[in-house]
Amino acid sequence: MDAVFEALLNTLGWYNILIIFIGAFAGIIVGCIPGFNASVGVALTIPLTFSFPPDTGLILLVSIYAGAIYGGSIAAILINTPGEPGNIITAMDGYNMTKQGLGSKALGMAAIASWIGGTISAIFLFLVAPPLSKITLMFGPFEMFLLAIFGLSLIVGLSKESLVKGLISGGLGVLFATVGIDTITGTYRYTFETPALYQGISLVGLVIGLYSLGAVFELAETKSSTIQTDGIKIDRKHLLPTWKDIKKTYKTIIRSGVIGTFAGITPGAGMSIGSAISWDVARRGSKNPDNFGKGEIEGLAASESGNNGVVGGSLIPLITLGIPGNSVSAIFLGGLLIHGLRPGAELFTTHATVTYGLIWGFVFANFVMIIIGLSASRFFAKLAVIPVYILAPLIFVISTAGTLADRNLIFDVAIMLAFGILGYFLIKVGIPLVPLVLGFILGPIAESEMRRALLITQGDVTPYLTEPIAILLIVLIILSLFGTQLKDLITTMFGRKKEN
Amino acid sequence: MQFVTIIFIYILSGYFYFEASGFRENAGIFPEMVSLILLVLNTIYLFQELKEKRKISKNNSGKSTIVKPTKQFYVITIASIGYVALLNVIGFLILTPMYLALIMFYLGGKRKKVIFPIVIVFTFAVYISFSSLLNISIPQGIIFNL
Repeated sequence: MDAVFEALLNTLGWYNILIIFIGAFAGIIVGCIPGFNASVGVALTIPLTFSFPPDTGLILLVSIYAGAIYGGSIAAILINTPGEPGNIITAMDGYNMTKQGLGSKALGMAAIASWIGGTISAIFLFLVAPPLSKITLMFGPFEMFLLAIFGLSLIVGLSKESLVKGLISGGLGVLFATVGIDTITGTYRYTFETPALYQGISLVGLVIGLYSLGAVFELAETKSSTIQTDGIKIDRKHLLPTWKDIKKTYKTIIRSGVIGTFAGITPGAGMSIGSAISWDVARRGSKNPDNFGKGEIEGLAASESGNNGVVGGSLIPLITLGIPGNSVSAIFLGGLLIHGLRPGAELFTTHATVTYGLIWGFVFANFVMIIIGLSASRFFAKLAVIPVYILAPLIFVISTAGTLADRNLIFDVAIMLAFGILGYFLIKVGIPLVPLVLGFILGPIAESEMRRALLITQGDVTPYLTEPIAILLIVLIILSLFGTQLKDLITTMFGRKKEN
Repeated sequence: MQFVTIIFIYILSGYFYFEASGFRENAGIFPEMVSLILLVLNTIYLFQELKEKRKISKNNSGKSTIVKPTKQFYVITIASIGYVALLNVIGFLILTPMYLALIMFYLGGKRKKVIFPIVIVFTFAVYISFSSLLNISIPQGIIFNL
């Protein structure tokens, strides 16, 4: 409890409050711009956090993350262009409200719902994360190895394209992570006698290359030069929803915040699912279900509260077990590890002040978000129509400067470019990028734990296979990878039995 | 394009595997294991793609869904490689405006009055933000180092 209050006082320092303002503001900008998203924003910010102490750095990252998710709603409401995948549902009701001349009200409701949804998930973070983190104390090296593989398998198992492509992507990430000096034996692995590779491939270069350069190529290939916003007027007087609107939507907002939090806790579910489920539940319970998708304020509130609830929810498995629920939290995990913070019980004991600082930062970022959102929506809406010929090269230059911030090596910028090109081709053939990033982050953890486990038993794995936690994790890995196939098999078998 | 990717993965994982077999003690055990798994997965992927290709040609259903890289991709890639290669030589402050202007005009920017101020202001903004505020050393190039 002392750490919670110590972290609160630390977060309330003028410097951290300023960082929260900057982070939330930058996050909203990132979320507003189509083609830019929370993953790109967090990836580009990681190198900047080196200049700060760990708590301030993480507060900046979480503020960007929260701001970007809300920012996506502005473009979705005003120009029917979801800045984030989680804002697709928002666009249905939000944009229709704009067309009806209720753009101001839609923006106001989105800001309030986002704030409440995010705050609900922060409460869950405070309550659920510390006890959950104690589970890791029961884990030995072999269980930790399996946990890392489980984290990777969850993302791979949810690969929309195909399981094989997801596994290939994860495998590539793990393989790239083996480059550098082996920490156990001191062996130089795949370094080509290049000093820049002794410490391995730069995580920052890899992540920025895959995500930010991916955005550059995507923008450069878009057919349209910009999206016009003619005729959209934001009336500041009507930004705040009326008492009647609040009365109508408050239950939906609270319920959607909880749904979003659980969607965030569930790895792979993500913003889209969080907002879609929230919207659907709200529609089913509404007196006017037919209005949903046509400009219903309750639908907008449900979607926005739901997708912001996902943010805090996704941080729960991340900081307790090291399992990222989506691509943004996978990059966030990289940010934690760069600052020497490893998920698990240690985050709530040795580094408790930093961890609770991160959670408080998230609480205040949500609050700051609503202030900025309500006061500067008109300005943000204009950002969404920056011509792509301006945006694409600017992202490349920021990416270059951001990569240089890591180790100040041009070699890392070359690595960034190489991964940008690799990512472009992988996307073209339908190989997802998230497992690659996750494999790169979790690979070293998996390797060191596996080798530690083998050292203890002198290379024999069998003693571990009788441990209940290990058995449970192996079952979970199999289910996460082959769950769909197993379900189909069972359905087919039972279907045949019924027919017979 | 799929087959180019498959060949690339074969070469990469094959290299990692053979190189790992020469590592001392047990430093190669993990990369060996991962690259072997990757070789198996890539073979499954190859068979899947061959099956898909056969299906397409059998049904005469036309084209694969994969879109080839565009001209924009190649131009931006070449320009970016040049930018990275020359960054230490020419320096950030001179090379960045040149790169930005080149790409902006190539991607359809027409108004010099808009592009040039953006290019100059943005270059200085990034330079000042990173070098002064965040104490990150941005390449100066030969001219500034003379």
